[in-house]
Amino acid sequence: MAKRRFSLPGIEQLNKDQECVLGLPKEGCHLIVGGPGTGKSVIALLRARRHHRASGTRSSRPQEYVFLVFNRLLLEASRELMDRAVNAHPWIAWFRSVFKLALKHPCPTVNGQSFTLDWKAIGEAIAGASELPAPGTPFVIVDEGQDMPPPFYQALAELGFEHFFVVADQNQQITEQHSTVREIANALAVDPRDRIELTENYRNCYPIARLALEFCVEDPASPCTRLPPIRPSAKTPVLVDYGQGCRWDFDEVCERILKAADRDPVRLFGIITPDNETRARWLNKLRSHAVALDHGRPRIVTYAAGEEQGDLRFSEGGIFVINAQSAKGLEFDFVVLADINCYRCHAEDKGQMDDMRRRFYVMVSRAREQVVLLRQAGRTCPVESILPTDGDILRRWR
Amino acid sequence: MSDSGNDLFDLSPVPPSAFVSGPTRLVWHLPTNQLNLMYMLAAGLVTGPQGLGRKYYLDALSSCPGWIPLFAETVPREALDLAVSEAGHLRRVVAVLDLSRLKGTVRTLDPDGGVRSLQFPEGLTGGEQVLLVPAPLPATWVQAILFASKDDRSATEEEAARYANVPLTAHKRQVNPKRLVGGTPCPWPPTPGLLPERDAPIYDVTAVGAAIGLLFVLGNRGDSLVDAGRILTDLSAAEPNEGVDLVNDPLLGVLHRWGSLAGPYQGQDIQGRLLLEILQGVVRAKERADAEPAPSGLTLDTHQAVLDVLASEGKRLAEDKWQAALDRLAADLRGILGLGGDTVSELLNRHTKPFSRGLLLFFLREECQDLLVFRQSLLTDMDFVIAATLFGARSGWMGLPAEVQSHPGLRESVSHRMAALAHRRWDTGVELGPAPARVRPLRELLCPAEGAWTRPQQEGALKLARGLGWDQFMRTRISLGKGDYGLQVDGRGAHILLDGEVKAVTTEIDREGLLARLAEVAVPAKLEAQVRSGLDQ
Repeated sequence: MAKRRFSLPGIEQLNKDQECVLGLPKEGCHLIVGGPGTGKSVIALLRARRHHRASGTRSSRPQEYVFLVFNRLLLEASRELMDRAVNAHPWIAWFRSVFKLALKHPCPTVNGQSFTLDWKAIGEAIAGASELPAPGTPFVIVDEGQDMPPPFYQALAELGFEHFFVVADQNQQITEQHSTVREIANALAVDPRDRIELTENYRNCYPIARLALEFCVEDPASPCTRLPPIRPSAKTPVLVDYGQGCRWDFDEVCERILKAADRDPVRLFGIITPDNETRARWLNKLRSHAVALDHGRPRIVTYAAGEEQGDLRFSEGGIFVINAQSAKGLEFDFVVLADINCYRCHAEDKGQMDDMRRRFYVMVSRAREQVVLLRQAGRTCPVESILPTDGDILRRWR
Repeated sequence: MSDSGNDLFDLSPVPPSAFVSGPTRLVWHLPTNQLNLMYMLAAGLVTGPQGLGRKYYLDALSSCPGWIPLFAETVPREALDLAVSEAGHLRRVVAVLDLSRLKGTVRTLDPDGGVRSLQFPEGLTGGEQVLLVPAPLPATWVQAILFASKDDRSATEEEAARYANVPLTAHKRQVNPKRLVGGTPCPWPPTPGLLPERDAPIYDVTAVGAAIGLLFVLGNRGDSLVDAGRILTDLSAAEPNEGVDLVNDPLLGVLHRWGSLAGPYQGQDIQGRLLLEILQGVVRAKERADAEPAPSGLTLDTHQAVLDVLASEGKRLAEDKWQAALDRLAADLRGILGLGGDTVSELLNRHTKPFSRGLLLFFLREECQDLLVFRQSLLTDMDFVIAATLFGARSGWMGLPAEVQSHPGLRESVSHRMAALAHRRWDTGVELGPAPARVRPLRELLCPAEGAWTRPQQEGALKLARGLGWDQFMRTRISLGKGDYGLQVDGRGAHILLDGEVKAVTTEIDREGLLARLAEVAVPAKLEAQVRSGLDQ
């Protein structure tokens, strides 16, 4: 099976804003803000590549940088993309080790939970330290920087880190302890001239960015990306109703997903489900549905926080069936939002609806090429009110 | 670019003889910035602002859109300053262009600021400080790149290595602070309106260049691919006739028209007309995306551009069966992008014509690299011809994989071809001299001229078979005269003992088998170079 790999972009594929970011010096604090499809992650990986020392020639020297990601799934995705040539770590584990190295004692946590850091105690410990060693990896690159809390950045600054390259999209905040762009800028004392906004979208994901924009919750600190007027596109996302009274039933939809994956075995599909029950339903059906394919059944894997992890390779094509909570920061060629009628919210609760919009914004923007929303016919669909009605943004099919 | 390990030049200075002053000056200087220059090297063309699309940074090219301003010794300081005026990360560079093959009408600026035509090179008086040459020129004419400092040079080299398609290391790179200081050699910029504006996008010519590149790489897969590559490369022939069966392969005639930037002729068959419309529609969608602002209501999506042509042409067709066929094809193409209900083999079994299959491939895969590795037993070489042309139209020369662009001789050949095509199209009165030799696929090089292989072909085929371990296509013949031959068996095996010296030992190659196998594999670059070394002469 052909491998999926990060490949260097052609010069025509980066826009002027991105070239400006690539031209930034290695030193200093740089905050790059942009919506989905603006190429933030590509820029962050290219930044990492600039720092990365190939193993072998100077292998005795440690890497001068660290590439921080939110969770293990993103870690695997980044490593696979770069063929392991990236010094990537999940941010919490890395911070704990940095703290321990600097303070000579374990990083304080809440109630002994290793992934819940006690920021108050951390701040006090750093403030009380008589001497702190110079950071071993002076250059810190943070992907999806809005997902880390403000005390994380403050603590790093107090630990002596000076050179940051943070890419963030404020509209993709779905973690409980997220940072606003302003909070990151304040914590790291980012000069306004070193805050760069990426506004231009790659053309091939314009229809996806356009749909994501429909779910964007406006925030004065980080306005939604402005996009040119709607244009006809063969890749306009589609909402498919299936089941009773529709042309397709569950079996038919599963078969079509399997055939779509079979048509290009290198592509990665993300089936994003609202909950574990739905995830299991789709996973089981995709794994068991009988269908004649050119390449045999594709790799079908799943992931859920807290469960034992299996095959998380992003370097090969196949189908990932995951919950919405796990979708953050991942990238798929083709995204299917399964059974969107199962998302629970109340139309009269603005806060709840805004949260749902943010969740859809994140899920839709996981796609590089195509998005399909699936809805079970005959069921109430609480998220109907946040779906666009313009057929040029979201086509509908029964 | 990935060719960093393939630095063709050391950093020794350009020989002083290249800068000889006098009426026959053939080396001229283009001031710009490193990003514009890298873009032009990647595009294969030194061109005007529109050729750089949204990536164009202000420089001297904007002072005379569509003309390449080239300076003799001293570059105007204004032109150098303009090149870095748009962003802080820009660096001044000067490209040294070798115009020794250029002929035709160019313009020059007189000391009083007037514009004068002259015939190049014979009309040069030696006093010209600036030449204005109609764009584009082959990027391979860039003889050297001059930097203001070592830091600028190394920063630019590091920058070029971030991109997959910038062949910076294929050009000399020199530090020449004096040349980058600038001066006032002539009135600059030219007064607006003195020159006819002729700036234009280059997507149409780079589409042809990309198709040539793809057809070359795919050429080992079949004769139609070889024919199509030859047709697209040969600009001189009015009609493709050399060994091309236009009766059985009318689409090859269509490719010739497309490669000449000609439209359909009266009486063109439906598929031919559709293919031309689609190829032009794909290029137009790319041009629109670069326009500022992009025209509203029209698609920038190349897939949609194809569907739009199928829809509009379908309505014009008189016969219901044709309309139904196009509707079905369009539905299947849409299905490929979404949740269509067919596998690739089901689609190929339903659509058997190269026109339809080429479109299926165009929708099934996005990148040229994906087309190059696509294998499916139902596909014919003519299916790949159509697909390669469509992929070329979508990607342009810049979108080709780096290993294709960097194939020895291909960039030189294609850059010249693209530039010559643009000059022919715009009737600029400029000629670029003899085209570099076309780079031919191994299949073509191994094609017997008159039924039998020449000695170099035989040796090339042997190298190939040995290199790939294809014992099944090799057979050793030992021709012996009449006589008694003794057999000796020892610990090393059996030996036939012959009196005297036997010279008639030959290795024969199963030609058909070898070419059939060649169509199925990728030949390692090193081995291909070894095989070519004897065949290209």
